[in-house]
Amino acid sequence: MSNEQLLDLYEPKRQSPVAIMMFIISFIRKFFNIAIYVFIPLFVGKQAASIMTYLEIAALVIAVFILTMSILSYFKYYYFIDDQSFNIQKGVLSKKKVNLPFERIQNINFEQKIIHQIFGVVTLQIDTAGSAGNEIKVEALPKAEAEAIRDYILEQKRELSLQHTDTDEEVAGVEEAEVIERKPDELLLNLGILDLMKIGVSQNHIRTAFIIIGLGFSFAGNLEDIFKINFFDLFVENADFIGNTYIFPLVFFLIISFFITLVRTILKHFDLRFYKSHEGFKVTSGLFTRQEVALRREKVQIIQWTDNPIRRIFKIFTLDIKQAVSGIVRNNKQKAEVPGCYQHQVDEVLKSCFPDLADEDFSEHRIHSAFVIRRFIYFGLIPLALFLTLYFILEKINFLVIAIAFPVFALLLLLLFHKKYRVYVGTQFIKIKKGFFGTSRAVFPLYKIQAVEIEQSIYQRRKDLANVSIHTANGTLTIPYFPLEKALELKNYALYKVESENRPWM
Amino acid sequence: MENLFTNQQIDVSALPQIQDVTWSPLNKKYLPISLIGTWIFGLILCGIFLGVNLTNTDLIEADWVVWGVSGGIILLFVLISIVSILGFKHKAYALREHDILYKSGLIFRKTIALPYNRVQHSEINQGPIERNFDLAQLEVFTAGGSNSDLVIPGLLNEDAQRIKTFIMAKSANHE
Repeated sequence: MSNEQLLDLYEPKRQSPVAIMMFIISFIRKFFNIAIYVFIPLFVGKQAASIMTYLEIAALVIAVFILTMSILSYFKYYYFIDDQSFNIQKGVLSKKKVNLPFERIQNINFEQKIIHQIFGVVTLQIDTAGSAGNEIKVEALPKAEAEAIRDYILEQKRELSLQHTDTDEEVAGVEEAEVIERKPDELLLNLGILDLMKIGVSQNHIRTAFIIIGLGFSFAGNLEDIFKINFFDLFVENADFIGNTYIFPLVFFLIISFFITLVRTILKHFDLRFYKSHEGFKVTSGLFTRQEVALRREKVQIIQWTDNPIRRIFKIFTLDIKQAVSGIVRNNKQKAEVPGCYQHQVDEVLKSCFPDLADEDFSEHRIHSAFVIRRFIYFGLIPLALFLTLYFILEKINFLVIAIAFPVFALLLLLLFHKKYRVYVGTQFIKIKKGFFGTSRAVFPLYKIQAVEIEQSIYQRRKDLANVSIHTANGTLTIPYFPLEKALELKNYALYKVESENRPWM
Repeated sequence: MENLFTNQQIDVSALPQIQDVTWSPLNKKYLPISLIGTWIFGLILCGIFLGVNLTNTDLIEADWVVWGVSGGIILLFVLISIVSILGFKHKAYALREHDILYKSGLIFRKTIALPYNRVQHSEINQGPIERNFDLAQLEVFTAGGSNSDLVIPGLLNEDAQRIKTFIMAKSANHE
């Protein structure tokens, strides 16, 4: 980076005007979302006319006020860097300064919506550590500048950490480390349209169908309020899916959801590029919204890879690299999900993040079969009783069908789950394998664990079983119905690892 | 299958065992105070429900429904009280050299262990009733999200302060 460029970054700057445009678009979108709920019932209702005028005026005043404020705040919003920190200056009525020291910055990600792409700008997201964590978002700035800021901050962070180790202990490798050239990013995976088709086809369409049906129900609920028709009554009166009435809508929903999922998958992961970078990994993807997620190797807490019966045919996995996220904000944007990975890419990531994993010697453990019996009570017998009662009260044959089908299906799933569940315990790592039809595998190093919890119900106490919850900086993994002795051993050992090694977990 | 850990130099049975810990119970004042808090909330809830329905008889026409629901609310709070009375003696904490432990639960017994070198920050909270009785609640946070936060209620304020200082000193040592 030339000095001139650097000086440029030190200068407080406004965002690209695209930021205003983005705001107006999101404002209009939100406005319409609310408007639909507010106005439709009013149009249908009796007193619509008289209330409308007041509401219209109020809405207009609020809209104008918000727009003016946002334009003013655009002109009062500046960002710049100095020697130690990234800064934002903002506020129309009261001045506000946000100062983010480099050492607290954990992650720098870019996002490009389609408008950003047209104007060559990006949204810069800076994520900080700690439970008081918050995220800073600069809505629109030129891409080259965002990249310069990111490189500069990462460079400063690296120097800080080198200084740190230098003062802590004399490290011989410091000079050497400084000489090492920044390696160019190595492309591990690039998804073409065929790969995207494979991924889209093998998505969980049944789940999507249920979501669509669920949305349908909540929409029906809204319509109910407006038209005063009870859809549940309609459902119960006409419910007779033995006689085929409901087979057609079900197939229809499945087909619709199949295409929706396919299109969504292709849009979301369009031209996905998965790089191995100097710090760790980088994933860019998306057609309309192009997103870049950067991962630092030390921050990775869990690596998980999942398949399902169809993906097993294609031999592809969805790889999920879970990195430490700041305490409160846990949004999906932090998620580095790489669908369509082959085994060798999974291995590459594992090798790079957890180098010791290759020498690990795992012992294999299962969960107790009491798991199936106990869960069957909740997910099999209770629904059975519920639907049987409904059947006897309403005397509709379909409730009897559900009453019988539910426990059978639940038992099948539970047996599959129990059969597949494995805990692999090594000296440095734990690996958990689980799933119903598909298989998900998760690996994490013991020393990165945050806390360990053991839980026993009355029944489990009698049987000497326990649920072990392992809390990490990216979610909790629970091993259910583990023999108590092993659970305690695992807990003691995990605590020993965390407390004796004292390695930084990110 | 038999043994959890293979290929290691240390003997797992020689590791410090959580089972051997001597637990410190919560302060005895905590139980009556938490019950007072529960019942104030319960009675206010019940009062609002009764007040609204007795002044406004159109909402629910049948009297027995109104009294039934109120009775239900009271019964629920009786149950909550029983659970907290019986559960009180299962709540305890322990400080070890490298971690803090807290156990709780009547039906589901839980024990959580939180190493000092994973502590992000800690807080002391005092409710209005607690303040009058000089009790406090200590919360210890990690990066593991709300599930792995450790909350010890019913500590003497002075103990809570002392424990907090101790934990923060321990966790600062590691950085």
